[in-house]
Amino acid sequence: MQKYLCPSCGGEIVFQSNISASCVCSYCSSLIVRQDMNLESLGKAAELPQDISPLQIGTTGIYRGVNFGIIGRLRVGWEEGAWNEWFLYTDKGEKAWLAEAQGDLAVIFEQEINEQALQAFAKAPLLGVGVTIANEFYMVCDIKSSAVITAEGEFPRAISVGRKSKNIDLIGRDNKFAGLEYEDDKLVGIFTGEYVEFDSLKFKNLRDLDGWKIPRIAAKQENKTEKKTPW
Amino acid sequence: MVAAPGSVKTFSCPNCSGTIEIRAVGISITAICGSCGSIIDTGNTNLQIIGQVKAKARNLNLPIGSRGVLFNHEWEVIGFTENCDASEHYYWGEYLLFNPWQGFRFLVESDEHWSFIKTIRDVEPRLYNTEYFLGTQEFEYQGENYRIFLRDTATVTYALGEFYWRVKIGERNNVADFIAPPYILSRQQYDEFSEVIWSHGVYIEPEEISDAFNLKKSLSSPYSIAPNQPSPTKPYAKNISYIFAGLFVLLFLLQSYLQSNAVNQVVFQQKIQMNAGNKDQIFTSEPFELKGGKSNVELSIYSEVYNHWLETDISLVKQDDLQTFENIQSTEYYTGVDSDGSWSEGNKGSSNIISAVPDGTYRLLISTNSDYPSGQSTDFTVNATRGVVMWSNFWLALVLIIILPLFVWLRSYMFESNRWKNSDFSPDIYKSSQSDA
Repeated sequence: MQKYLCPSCGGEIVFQSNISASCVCSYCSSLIVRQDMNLESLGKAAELPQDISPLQIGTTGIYRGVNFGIIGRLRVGWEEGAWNEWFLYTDKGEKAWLAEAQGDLAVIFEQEINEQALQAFAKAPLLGVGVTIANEFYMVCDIKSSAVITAEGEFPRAISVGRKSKNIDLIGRDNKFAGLEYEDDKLVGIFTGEYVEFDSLKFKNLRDLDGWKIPRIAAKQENKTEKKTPW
Repeated sequence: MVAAPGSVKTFSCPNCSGTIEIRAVGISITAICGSCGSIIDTGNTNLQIIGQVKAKARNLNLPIGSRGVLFNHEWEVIGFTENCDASEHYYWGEYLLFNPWQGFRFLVESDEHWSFIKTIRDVEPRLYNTEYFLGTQEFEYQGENYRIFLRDTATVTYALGEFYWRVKIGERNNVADFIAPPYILSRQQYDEFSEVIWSHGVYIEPEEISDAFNLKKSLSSPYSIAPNQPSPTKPYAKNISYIFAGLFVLLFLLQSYLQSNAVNQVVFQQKIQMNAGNKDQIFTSEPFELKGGKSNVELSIYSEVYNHWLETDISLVKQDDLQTFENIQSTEYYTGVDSDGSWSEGNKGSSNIISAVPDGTYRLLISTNSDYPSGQSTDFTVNATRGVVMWSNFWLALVLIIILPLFVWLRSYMFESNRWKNSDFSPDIYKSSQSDA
């Protein structure tokens, strides 16, 4: 954990993770970039719109035995809606994200973009095309343009609100997910991960939701339904 | 002021100023005004009207905003669409359910049948490829074999509530359903260049829906068979086949045991001459012993009858108390030549089993009748054998234990035939009965 002062308002800024490169000041919403010991302000983040997500900065969980905590949130919009990308601080120091879109969750890890990947994905693959990423077979299932609407918390790279990117979602075996991100037709991100069930992540410190019972209580009330769904 | 997380967000309809509620705040991008039917883009703050639902607001079985617990989670009904198939004869409803932690589910209501459905992402990746998919008749998912049931289109005809996608009245999707009752897998795609959505569902009884949502008026019972409705025989089909197999083995073992322990002791054998015309002639045999406990006795006769019949009336009589076991047997044998060639019919021998004959000294009293002309005579042989294997019991028992599985199989067959009647992809074994229907 490292502490700084906001170059814009002088408020205390805490970086939870040393892989974080930028953050949003929790006092004045300034977008801050960390370059070695210097902080630079890049304008302001817009207010987060109201949403019903039970996740928040400070929520912790366990993914495949690894503890994580939510330290940042990007609100990403596209032509037909918006979703949340939660940046995770993990015990292992990976660049991990929790994508929350249309009520579905996916745990995603940023992959290194090497020469090979740059060549293989120089051109964005088209819908329905099969590709191999990190020895795993994927099929392109969705392509859309998106832009960061606003943000809170801290991030592994400088975030720029409003910058457009092309997102290619790929689906693999058994809920595996991969994503390719292009900016101006240039590959800027490779992500692999998997779709997960909410209950599997053993969340703690979730946000309370008005008018909704905590799921564990609801689950206890109704155990008479014996029929099983496979999910 | 920031509203409490989870609370319902309300705004005024830009068309009629009626109140519109948003429950999945931040996720829903379309909402339909319950008063005027305007379809509003709620993805941003501009609240643009992007369409219009022409039909009047309907009374839904599960009204928007109602909640129910299904599969251990509480669900709120936030949207409803009605769809029709390509023929525009078949309509069904789709309720959109929301839970802030679990996300979205669907309840599909079709001909009073209900299925609980979830979007999935763990079918084989190549099934996302349209070309490959169109050549697929069946595939495995989570250990179950799914078979194609229909390929059709679904057109949205009505909508109410809010949605996480852009609802357009009249939008037509390509759909395909694969079934492994009670499960159903559906593929949905707008056109070959758009996103493919796979979803998995499980059949739910109407009573379970009524219970889950505390409905005051119970839902009507279905009159047809749904594609993924489980067969009523399915719960016990497996048990019955185990029971049948078990009983069959038992019966087989029992018969083997009886056969290996059969005494098969010939206690009497004699050739007797029958004189036709002497009607009152009764043959009385020498006494013979039956020993070794109560047992069955097989009486058999054999006669070289030729174009005649012979009937014997045999009584097995116990000497000390004159207990009598009656037995009538006949043999006949005819042969001849006609335009089709030579023919023959009848049997020269006959046998019958008397069960539970106690130990003792017995005689046989035999009287005969025949169509031999008076004065002629013929021979016949009488055999008495103690402790023979009775196959008739075995066959009877076999028939009895086959009846139940046969009944269950027939019922299941009828059910499956009716199910597949509604499909263009019926398996061959259900086709013959369909053409009859």
